Amino acid sequence: MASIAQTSVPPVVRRRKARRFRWPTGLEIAALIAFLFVVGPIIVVAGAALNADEMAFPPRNLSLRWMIQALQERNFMTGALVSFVVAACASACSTLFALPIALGLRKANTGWARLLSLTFLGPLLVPSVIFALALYQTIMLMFGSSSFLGLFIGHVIVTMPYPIRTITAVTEGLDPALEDAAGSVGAGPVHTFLHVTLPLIKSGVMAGFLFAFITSWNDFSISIFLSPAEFKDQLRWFAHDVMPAFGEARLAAE
Amino acid sequence: MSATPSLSQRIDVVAPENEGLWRLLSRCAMATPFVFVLVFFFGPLVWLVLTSLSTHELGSAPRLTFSLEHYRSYLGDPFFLINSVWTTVRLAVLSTLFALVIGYVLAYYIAELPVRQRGLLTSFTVVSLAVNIVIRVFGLNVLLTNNGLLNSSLIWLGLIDRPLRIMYTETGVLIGLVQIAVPYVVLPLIGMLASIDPALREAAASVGASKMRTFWTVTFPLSIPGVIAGTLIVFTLNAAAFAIPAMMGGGRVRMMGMMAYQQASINGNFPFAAAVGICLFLLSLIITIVYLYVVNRKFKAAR
Amino acid sequence: MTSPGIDIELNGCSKSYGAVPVLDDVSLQVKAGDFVTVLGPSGCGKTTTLRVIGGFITPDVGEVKIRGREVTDLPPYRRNIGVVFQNYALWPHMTVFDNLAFGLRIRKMGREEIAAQVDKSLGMVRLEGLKDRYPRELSGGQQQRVAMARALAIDPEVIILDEPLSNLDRRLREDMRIELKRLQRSLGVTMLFVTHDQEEALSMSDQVVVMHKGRIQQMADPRTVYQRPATAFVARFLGNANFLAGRIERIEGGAALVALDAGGVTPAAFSSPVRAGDPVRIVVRPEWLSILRDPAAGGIRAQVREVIYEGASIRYGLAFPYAGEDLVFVHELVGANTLNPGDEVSVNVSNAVIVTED
Repeated sequence: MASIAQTSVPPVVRRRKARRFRWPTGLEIAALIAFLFVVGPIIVVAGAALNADEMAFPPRNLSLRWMIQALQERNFMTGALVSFVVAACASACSTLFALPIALGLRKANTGWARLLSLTFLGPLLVPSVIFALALYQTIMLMFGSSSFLGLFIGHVIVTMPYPIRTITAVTEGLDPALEDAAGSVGAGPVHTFLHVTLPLIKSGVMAGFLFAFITSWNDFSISIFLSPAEFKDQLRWFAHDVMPAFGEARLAAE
Repeated sequence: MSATPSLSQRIDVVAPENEGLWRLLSRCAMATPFVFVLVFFFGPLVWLVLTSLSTHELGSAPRLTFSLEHYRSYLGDPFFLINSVWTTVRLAVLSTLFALVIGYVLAYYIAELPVRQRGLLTSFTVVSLAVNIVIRVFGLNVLLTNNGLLNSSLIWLGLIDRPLRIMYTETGVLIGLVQIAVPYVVLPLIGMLASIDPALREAAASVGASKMRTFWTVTFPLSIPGVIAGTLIVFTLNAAAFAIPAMMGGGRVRMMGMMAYQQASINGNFPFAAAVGICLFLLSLIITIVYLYVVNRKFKAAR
Repeated sequence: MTSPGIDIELNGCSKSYGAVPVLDDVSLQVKAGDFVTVLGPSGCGKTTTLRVIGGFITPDVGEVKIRGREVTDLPPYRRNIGVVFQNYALWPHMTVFDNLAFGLRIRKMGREEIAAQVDKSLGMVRLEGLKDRYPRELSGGQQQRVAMARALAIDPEVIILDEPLSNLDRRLREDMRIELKRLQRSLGVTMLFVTHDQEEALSMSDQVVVMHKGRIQQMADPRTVYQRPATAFVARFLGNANFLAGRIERIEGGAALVALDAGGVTPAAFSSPVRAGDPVRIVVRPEWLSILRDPAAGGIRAQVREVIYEGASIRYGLAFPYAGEDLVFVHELVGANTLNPGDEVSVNVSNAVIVTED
């Protein structure tokens, strides 16, 4: 009968699957702690900067007062600008330098080539503060004064290993037949480089530039020695002016 | 033979690229960075070595005498050896180990995530690299100081009675070094771990290996290249550290990098600073070589 | 001077890497419109030969000519040769259309011309409609055809192919062989094909070049290479081979009469000069031998050692006198008269070829 047919088939109900609660695994907890360890201090500073009164975390009264003051602080803004310009120029230069090196060295598999590629990674091995000092002296000897050029040169040397490494990593996976194929249809070396090689190593180039930029932006040692007096960049200002001031404030608090 | 003869002839008609010019350009392109590095990297290194062999003259430039006096006074002095060399080695190795453990955990977790979230967290890690060392020290300071978050929480939890002294001690420096180091370990490891074929782990599970066992016998050995990459960067970075010991250690924790800086900028004793620097360089080099040798021997199968 | 109608010519090309010779005095000529296969095991130098023709390797000694034009020192992009690579080498960051148009744009062709030529080339390999796909979206067989179309699109003088079918599964490979041959025939374009597969070589080529250890062992049409191998290596590499030792009694007509160590005399063809009295080795393929059940029927006396059932046929391993432990293998269709190990039989030789050592 009709009614039996209807009731014997349960109605189709659309139900949203409820999210089952799951206890976090040991790995997840550990990873969370690790993550907090990495980003903790950064959040702290950001948070403290938002605090209305003195340095305290967690912030008690949120206020943008300090942020605004920082942005208005002349030294800070000039310093930041200088850091940015130097980082951008130096990393562009070192990435441009890294390209022919990485591409040229991959074809040669001799012992010489290996040795050469190791020497280009040298700046990573030498302690930065010592190298900065040595570079400063060398620049003084060559140019007689420390200028923007010296700062620039230092940053290029220090950042160059990064794009070399990332570009080399990408070229190792590059099938040489792809470039041979370009030659076989009539593309000369320039054309092949621009239309085949370069697009295929793009990711390595960009990653290299990024790492170079970060390294230059973060750099401490080179800038301490090589910043010309009138270009006190952000770090020097920060390190020399802010820290002592902060130290005083702390002592007062205690 | 079919088709228009014009096409086959075109390849000659087309303005040929000037191969000679290209060859010259590419030679220059390779030579320029080479010369650049030669002058501005090896040049200063040569200066460094020569200076370390010079005698310090108060008030004027050091005199090149090829004397090993600085090396002798540095390495011969037990105070220096115990204090700065041993401290440097100890802190560099310890911070590398801790960074490896913390970083590996984080990298393992990130590598297991689906691609979208993995990319997000990887970006976070990269961004954290971009944050300045001074800011981080600042943050650590606020957290670890006597009234800081850490001490307050521990007291509140009843675990300790009086605040722990962390800032301006070796522990503080160690924490700072690890903080800087972790992102450098995490990044190469994420890529390495993500590229391990999951079938390999499944195979281990299928023959009855527990998760722990699978990790130690399959995953870890295969991730060794990433481990090596990360730990080498971190070790050389931290061995040369001078900002962290200066700021977190209050100058009391003597690491060689900091000593060199002090000798150079405060005392003006360039030769001594150079000697310390060269010692530091050789130390890093030797430890690196030994490390690579040992790891290569032990994990030969995974390569 | 190159005779007219020779599209590819190599003269005395040699190439070594350090102390290792990869090509040893290689000379060959490919007639216009021919399909020539270079056949050999891995490491024999066939790929190097191809790369020398393509311009990717410059020989230490010797010259390369395309259509009479000396190209030995010309880089690949000046040679107007189409190349199909073993792994296809399709540019992953370009669509199929762009892959084909790449060479045409270099030749400064107009937009419509390029579109027409691309369509024509894709039509030749029957891949219309895939213009806007990326290589990674295509199957292996489709990628192979795109690689072919790319080589065709620039309308080259010759096309060289480096084991293009070796990455395809068996069925597809056989289909592609037929298609490739059909394409070559209809276009009349000269092709040089490199492979280690003897079946491919025999079924597709106008000429087969057999290479071993950097040297050309023999160059001839498939039938000749199979029926009259010049060296023991060629005999072994293409098909099955039995070797027998003997001495030349005399030379009669165009054949040498060889007295076999195992007994009996048989006429044998020869390709290199021989004299009466020379000790020689002859090759007899299994299909040139027939087994007589009566051991006294004349022919060579032999004893059956092995009997291998192969479905449609049976393979017998026979022990010949003075042949030591080497067995001579003969096939027979399965019939009523199957032999057993230990049986004494008599063997007739219907064809034999004198071979030199490699």
